Parts: sequence; C-alpha cells; structure tokens
Amino acid sequence: MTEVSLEKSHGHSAADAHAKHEALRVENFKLGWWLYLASEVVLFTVLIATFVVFRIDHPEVVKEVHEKAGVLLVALNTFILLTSSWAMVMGLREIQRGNVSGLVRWIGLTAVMGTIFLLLQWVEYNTLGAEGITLQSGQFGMRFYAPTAFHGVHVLIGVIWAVWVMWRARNGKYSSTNYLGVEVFGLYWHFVDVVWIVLFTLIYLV
Amino acid sequence: MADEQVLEARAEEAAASASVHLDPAMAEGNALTQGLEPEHASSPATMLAHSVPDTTVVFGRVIPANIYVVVFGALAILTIIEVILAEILPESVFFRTPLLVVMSLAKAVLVMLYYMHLKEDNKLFAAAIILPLLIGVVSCMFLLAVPSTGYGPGR
Repeated sequence: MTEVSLEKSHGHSAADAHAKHEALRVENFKLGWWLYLASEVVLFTVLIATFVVFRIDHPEVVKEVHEKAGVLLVALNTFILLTSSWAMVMGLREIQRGNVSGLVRWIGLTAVMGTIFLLLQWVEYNTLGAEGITLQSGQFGMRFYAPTAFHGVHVLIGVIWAVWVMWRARNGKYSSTNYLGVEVFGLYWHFVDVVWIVLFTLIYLV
Repeated sequence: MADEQVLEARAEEAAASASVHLDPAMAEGNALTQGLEPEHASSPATMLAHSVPDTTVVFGRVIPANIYVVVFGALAILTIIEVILAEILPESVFFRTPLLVVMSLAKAVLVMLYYMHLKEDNKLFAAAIILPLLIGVVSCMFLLAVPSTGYGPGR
C-alpha cells in the first residue's frame, strides 16, 4: 500500500515538473516576443513623434492635406484591420478547441483582410500622389509616408506570416495543447493593429 | 501521453471555471480577470487559460457572444464615433484633440487587454510594453518643448 502511494506521488511530481518546465518555456518565449514588440514601440514612437511635432508647428499644412485626401478610405481601411485582428483571435480560439480547419479559415480571413488593407493603402498613396503629395513634396511628405509605409511593411510581413501559419496548421503542427506559434503570430498582428489605431487618430483625424 | 491528459484535464477545469467579465464588480473571485498568481503562472493551465466561453457578462448583463466579438463591437462603435466627432467638431474646440486621443488609447488598451491577453497573462509582459511607451511619451514632450524655429545662434 505504502509502495503504491509512493510511486503515484513520484509519478505526479515528475509530470508536474515537466509541465512546469514546459509552462516556463512558453512564458519565456512570450516574454521574448513582448520585448521585441517593445523595441518596435520605440521605432514607431520616433516616427509618430516626428509627425506630431510637425502637426503642431504647421497645422495649416496638415489641414490642407486632410481636405485633399478625405478620411473615408482610411476609415474603411481601419475597419478592415480591426476585422483582421478579430479574425486572428477567433482563429486562436478555434485551435484552443482543437479545431484546425477553423484555425485555417480564420487565419485565412486575417491574411485576406491584411492584403485588402495593403491594396487600399496603395490606392490612398496613388490618390495623394495625384494631388502632388509625395516623399519629396515639402516637409509633410516624408513625415507622413515614413510611419504609414513602415506600418504597411509590417502588415505585409504579417500577411506572409499568416500564410505560413496556415501552411503549418494544414500540416498538423498545431493542436489544442500546442498553439504557441499561433499565439505569437497573434501578438505580432494585434500589435500592428494597435499601432494603426494610434496612427489613424494622430495622422488622419487630429 | 499522461502529460497531455493532465494538460487537457486542467484546460477543461480552467475553461469550466472561467467566465469573462467586463464589469469590475462582477469580476471578483475570477482568476482570469484578477491576474494569475506567480505559482499559478507557472502551471500548465497558463498556456491554456485563454480559451473563452460563448457568453460575456458586460456590466451585469449576459451577452450571447464571446468576449472577442464583444470587444470587436466596442472597437467598431468607438471608431465610428471617433470619425464622426473628427468630422463634426471644429478644430477650434479645445477638447477635440484630447477626446480623440483618449478614444484612440481606449481602443488600443482594449486590443492589448483582450486580444493580446495582457489581462490574464504575466504582468511582466505589460511592464515590458508600458516602459518604452512611457519613455516615448516623455521624449515627445521634450521634442514639443523645442521651438518650431529651432535653437539658432543668438537664442
């Protein structure tokens, strides 16, 4: 009787130790990603601050651009990115429930929304270019295109990453107990969404 | 295999005991909304604790949608209000900019708390992202203190 209970206890402690080690690995991996996102915050802050200082010093220039460009197209793009973020987190929910096909569908929607965002940003840049607002057109151009294009590159990387996550999901790399790869992609994609939420207000609305 | 069964059992336990509350008063006693204790943070349930139920309690009312749908709705409504306010409020109105910025920050916080799971994840993650934000804001304030004409000779 005593022997049995001892074995059981030993078995539990070994399983617990392994599970704790695995949980610690996951926590450390996620902390690493958060630190990476923190470095991105610094980069975006510099670009946004440059625009904000220009906006305060030259409100008339920014107002003129706002009148030329309008806000409807960018507002639509904002909705598209918000929807993509929602699709991303719904995909995570599906894999947490062990539904791989659900994950692929939702991440697919995320990738499609990200692609539409990029296409509409291209349309916006063309519209602004036709109005004479380019990288070389005065002080506004550089300060506007730098943060928005830098963000666009992040969306492009996110779309490629989403396709990769879908490919891995189809190959059985994720399950209800193994979805760290999906979660980390989610952190990146939501961060890109958060940056756009701030950019949208500070560059297009204020 | 035994480990997987343990993990699954704990995940089911966590999912069964978890209901998501946006109302702080309703959140008392809910491990997910109060943050995980350090010893819990190292348990396998941590990596599985993000699974959310099909209903959400918002200010005492049960909504038949999961928290992600509710947050998406809130984000959409806030964005619509933001665009309308930006269009109808003249720039001369003193609270226009602060109001729009606060609404934007509210949206960003919603995404970080619920979509990026900062609400229930390790608080160290929140610290990692908040610190550079604070440094950025302080740096911006220094930048704003520089005159638009710059510090030329004789100034």
